[in-house]
Amino acid sequence: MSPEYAFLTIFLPLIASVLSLFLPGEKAKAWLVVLGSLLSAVFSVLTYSPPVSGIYTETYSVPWIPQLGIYISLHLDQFSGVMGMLVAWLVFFIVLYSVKYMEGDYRPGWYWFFMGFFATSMLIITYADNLWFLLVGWEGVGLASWALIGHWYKDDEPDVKWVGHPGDRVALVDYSWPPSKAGLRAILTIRIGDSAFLVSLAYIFVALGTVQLSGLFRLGSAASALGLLPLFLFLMGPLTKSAQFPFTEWLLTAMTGPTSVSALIHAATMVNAGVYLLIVTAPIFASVQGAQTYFLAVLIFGALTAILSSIIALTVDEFKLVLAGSTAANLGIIAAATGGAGLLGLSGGGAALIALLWIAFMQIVGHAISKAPLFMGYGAVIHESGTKYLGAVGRLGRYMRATSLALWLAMLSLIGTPPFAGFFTKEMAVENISAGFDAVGLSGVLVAGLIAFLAPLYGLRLLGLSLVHGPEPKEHIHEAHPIMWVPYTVLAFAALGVGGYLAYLYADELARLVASPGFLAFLVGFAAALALYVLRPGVRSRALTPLWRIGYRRFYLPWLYDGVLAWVYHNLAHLIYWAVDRGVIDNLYHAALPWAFSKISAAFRRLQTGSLSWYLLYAIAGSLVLILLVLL
Amino acid sequence: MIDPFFLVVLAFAALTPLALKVDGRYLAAAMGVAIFAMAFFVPEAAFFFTLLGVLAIALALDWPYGGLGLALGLSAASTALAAYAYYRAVAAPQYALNYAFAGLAALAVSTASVYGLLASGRERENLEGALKYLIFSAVGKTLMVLGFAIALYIAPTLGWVLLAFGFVFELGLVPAHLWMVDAFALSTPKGVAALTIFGELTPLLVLLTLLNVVPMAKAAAFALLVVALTSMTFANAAGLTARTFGRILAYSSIAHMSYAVAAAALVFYFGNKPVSLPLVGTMSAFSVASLVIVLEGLTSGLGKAGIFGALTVRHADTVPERRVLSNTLNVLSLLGVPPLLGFWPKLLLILLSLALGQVGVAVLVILNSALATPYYLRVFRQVVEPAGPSADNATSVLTSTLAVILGVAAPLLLVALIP
Repeated sequence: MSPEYAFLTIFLPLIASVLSLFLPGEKAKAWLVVLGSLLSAVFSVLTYSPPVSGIYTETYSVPWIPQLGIYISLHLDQFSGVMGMLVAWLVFFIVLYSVKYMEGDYRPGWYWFFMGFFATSMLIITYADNLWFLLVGWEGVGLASWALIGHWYKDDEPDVKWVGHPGDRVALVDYSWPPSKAGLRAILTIRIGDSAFLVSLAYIFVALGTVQLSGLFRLGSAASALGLLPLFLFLMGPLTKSAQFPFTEWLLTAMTGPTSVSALIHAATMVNAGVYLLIVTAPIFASVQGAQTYFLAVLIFGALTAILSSIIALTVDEFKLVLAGSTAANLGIIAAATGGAGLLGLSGGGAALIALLWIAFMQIVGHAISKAPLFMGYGAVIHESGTKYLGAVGRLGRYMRATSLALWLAMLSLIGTPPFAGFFTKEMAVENISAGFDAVGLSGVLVAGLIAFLAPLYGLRLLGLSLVHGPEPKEHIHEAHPIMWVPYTVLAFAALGVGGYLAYLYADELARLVASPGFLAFLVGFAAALALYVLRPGVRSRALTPLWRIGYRRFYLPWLYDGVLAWVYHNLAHLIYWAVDRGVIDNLYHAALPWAFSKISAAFRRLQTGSLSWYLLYAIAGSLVLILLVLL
Repeated sequence: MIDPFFLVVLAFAALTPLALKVDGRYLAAAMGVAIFAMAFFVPEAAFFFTLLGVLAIALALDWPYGGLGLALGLSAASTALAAYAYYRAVAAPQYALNYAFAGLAALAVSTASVYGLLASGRERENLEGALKYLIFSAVGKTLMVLGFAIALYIAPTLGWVLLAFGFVFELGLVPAHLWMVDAFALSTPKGVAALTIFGELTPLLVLLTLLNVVPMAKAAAFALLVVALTSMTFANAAGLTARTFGRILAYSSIAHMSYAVAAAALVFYFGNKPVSLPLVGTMSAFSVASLVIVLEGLTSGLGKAGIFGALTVRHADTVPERRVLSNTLNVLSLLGVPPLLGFWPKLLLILLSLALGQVGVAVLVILNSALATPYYLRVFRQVVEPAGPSADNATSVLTSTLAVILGVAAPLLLVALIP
């Protein structure tokens, strides 16, 4: 590994974004960050040249605060090498798209700074070998996420920039989220996980004496005594960061951010940080006693998220919300595939585990290159049509042909249609999930089938009702600017290209994948979706309406979080304020102690009579007492 | 052979008749220049000579002292003499006894001069405050001279006990502290400015000189330690409900003198040994205590000289009428806010206590610092809140600048300050 290249990959976006603060014009800021991102992307390729295989293959380390185990250290292997290139190139494409998408925005300095800041933070997570150093990036992406979700802090244009229908309420709880509130929701949820994550890092450092990932990996069975507690505390970080159930909500309302932000942070990169960390730490945690329980939990959380989020994606009526639901679903698939890999790898040995984890990792790649163009494309749709609601505008395929083509290609890849990249990555990931459930005696086929069946339903529903059918646009709609459509079209074709490469790579597996139960479930779902949303749209079922409502209301989790939990927290805070802050702290520090000191002080000052005779008397008496004290 | 510096002081005294003909401020300024000039001839005490010289000039510039300008000059010269005696006593131990007596003589000159300055106003209260100072200071000096002679020639323990009581009276520690509040509140504020810098720094320097001649007896160290710890707590508690400038800062002065004395008492009660501290490295505990004493005296003196020197009222048992913004720095230095000068002696005292294994003393000093905060903040408000325009003068600006410069440069100065 050339550490210089790796550091350039990591820090060039940040350097560009910091410099952009000092440039006067919006364009200058934008193009400087684009340049920084392009260079970072080029260096990401050089960093991984020549490619290396395995995990924690090469490491580089310089001490920062060695007493606390803090090193600035990097690791290069097949996971970080590919992830680094994926992140850096996606950043480049999306910031390029942003040049036009964010043109005329009222906060360019904020946007461009945090985009570069985010890129560097994400690349730190990707390459970091030291968990404390990784934590820097981990918190950095959280901060950038908050800053960019709430980018439109004025909370204006609710029909475009909010999530939900303004004014919509469920049992006294608002069901619409302005950017400022969504940013807060995101950071609060992530901080809950980060708190536990931080404790787990400290625990690991104290218990094992190192937080170097490569060092922990080399410990092997010596790490077995770590126990399950730190593993589950650790798990809280990825669960919240990757929006796993029941922490999915923040990701859905994060769609208040600019679409470029949704594409980069809340689809292709940051949300993947959690599952990426699950993957690269799996070989370490596999050595810990009780790891089976940990991997089973990961499998169950992932599968649950995949199914429930797919249902949300199938029922909601906003372009970006459908995509956000599908992001959560795919993150669930990746997490579940990691859990499955862990369960299977425990019995199969180290090499088998790495191979299975690689399958889970490939789904990150497949999902990212499919989802990023979808977000960018629908960003262009919202930009042109002026609405975010699915059903408010339709037949866009006629007006935005390049965008429509890119969206079709990307969506077919996302839902797992052969020969796109998504087909290979998703099918193999679903196999991991199925085999994982089978390994613990549960019906894997049922879970995997349901996941594979739901994906085409929400995917084709979105395309059918926006590109093919739906109401004619009221105003003339034209194709997006080339600076916008070129990046997502290139990425959509990349999904096809990568699919071709994977077909070549996994030619032997092709027959098995096509005959798998997961693919059969996909075909059933695809046929149903084609009929319901593309060929004969408009079929409605009264019987399914209550079920649809549950999905549409996102399993009432917003009502629980924004209503019940907020009420409980608010009242608990009041209780603590009255009982502890006012009752104890105020009374003790602001009433009792000052009263006591004022009495003592006044008593001392009463000696100050002004009479010289008394003063001398006090001095002599005091001296005598002192002499007695000395003599005794 | 007579030390040349003594001749200079004698020359100053011989200038007395001039006071009848020349405005005192010119005399004081001229004496300040002379003290400053002496810095070039006495390198070991150059720091003090420079400091005291410019302070005398600043005070002279700010106030028409009349004939008592000579007293101002003499009080500065006596402190310079005390500093000189201290440094010479260390540099030439064979003559230490001579310099110790010179120090005591400087103390007498200082008291007489400061008394005159305290009483220089036209109010009855001014005289009352000055008299209380004079009486307690006289008792203190009597005990000191007596104690020093006994410690030298008869019984060191008894001698040091008397010396300790002498310093208790002189520095206004509990139980002989009551004069100080009246002296600060009732005397002429310009006189109080001189008292805080010259009248308090001189006895501290004399204490250091005497300690170099005859080590303090353990019994006396115990008595002084008890007195110092009681005094700081008493003063900081009493200061909490004091309202006027003079009274609050009197309690502050008692507390500062207590911190200084506590350092010396700690070392002589628990034993002088090498200690390793941040910033100063490894040095003897007595050297660290000497640093605390000098810095505490400077902190208290500079801060209060700035504050009282800027008062335009007839006595300080009141709140100020005019805003003096430069004094905010002086108040913060007295409070001990880093990196101002006042932070360092408290820090060193805490570190010294810990190095000697006296965690309780360290905790008590920290608690006392916290306890003192409210009354310093009250003074801060009183300095800032009066109507403008700001009435900063030469003394307040000089002392606040010194609080910053000496505070920031303290890590560099610390080792060089103590012989």
